[in-house]
Amino acid sequence: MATPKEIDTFLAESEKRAFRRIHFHVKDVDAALDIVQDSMIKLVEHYAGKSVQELPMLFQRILTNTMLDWFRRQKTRQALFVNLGDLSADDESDDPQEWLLTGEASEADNPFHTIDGWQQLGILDELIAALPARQREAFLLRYLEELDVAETAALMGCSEGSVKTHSFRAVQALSKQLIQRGMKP
Amino acid sequence: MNSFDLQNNAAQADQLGRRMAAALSQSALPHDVQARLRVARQQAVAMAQRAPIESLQPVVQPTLALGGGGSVPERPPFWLGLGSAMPIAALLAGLIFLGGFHAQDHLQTLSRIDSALLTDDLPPSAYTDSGFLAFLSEQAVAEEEAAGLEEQNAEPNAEPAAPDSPQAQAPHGQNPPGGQA
Repeated sequence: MATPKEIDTFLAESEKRAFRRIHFHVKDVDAALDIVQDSMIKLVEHYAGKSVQELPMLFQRILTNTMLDWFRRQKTRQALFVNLGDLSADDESDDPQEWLLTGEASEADNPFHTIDGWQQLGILDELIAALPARQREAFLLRYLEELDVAETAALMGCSEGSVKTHSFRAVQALSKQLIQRGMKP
Repeated sequence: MNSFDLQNNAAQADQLGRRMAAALSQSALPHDVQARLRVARQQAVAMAQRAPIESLQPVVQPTLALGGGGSVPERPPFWLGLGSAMPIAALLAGLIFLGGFHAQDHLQTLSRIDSALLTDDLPPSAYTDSGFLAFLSEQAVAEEEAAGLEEQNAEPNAEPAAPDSPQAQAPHGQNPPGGQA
């Protein structure tokens, strides 16, 4: 059983990543904070008796479910038909907009060639936010949350092959976008 | 490294993805977001600390101390569950019985109506004839009128029915016993 101190340590380590992941999906700071806070409370209320090793997967699942509940509560057309539809659909086909190029900057014009440069410009945030929802979720769970393929597949409710495909396409799309913007991935 | 290299090597894609995520993690969140996350975490942890210890322990079922043994059964005894289920079972049986009785009573009423219709001299199809229905209504009016006339005729005969009254004896010319003295 996890002690309050262990729960505090776990939440302190994972709260920023959780906020980033949720914020990429809901695209609203207040909503992302509410979802993370609700997920923390649900974790403590229902799973405080679990061991520390079980907490990461439980927290990710609670985050996903709370985020989907938030989408369901939204009455706007965009939230209901675009975001939730993208999340629930297992999109295996090529999305024409996935490869849409939005930047025209050349390498000579852009002094930021390193990873830090990407972040200084906030370009990486922008590119990840522009990914299709399933690819974005696979990318964030695999690389930001550092889950393995099986855990990501369990959270996303799809096969491990789909997770590999989605995460690979996400990296490929990000790499392509960075090259088009004159940066070396 | 370009996209074609990635296509040939999935491992390189994983490596690049981790580098991107690492860069993402290194960037700091706004201070207000960090503060709100810290407050949310503190609230959750405070809730965990306030949670009573009993709620985290396995619930021990109360047992009767008749046997005097020290062992605590993990599940309630069978008869206890049976005893709690008996009232529910009795209620369900009663509801089923009442439902069946009501349905049987309804069927008997319908059968009585059907048998009365079928054994009557009048065929059931007569009730669908509008002319016959008009005849029945006229007959009912005539019977009511006849009954009214009979009542009116019966009223004069009802007056002499009280021979003991003095008013009834007076028209016959008989004086009371004390009148002739």
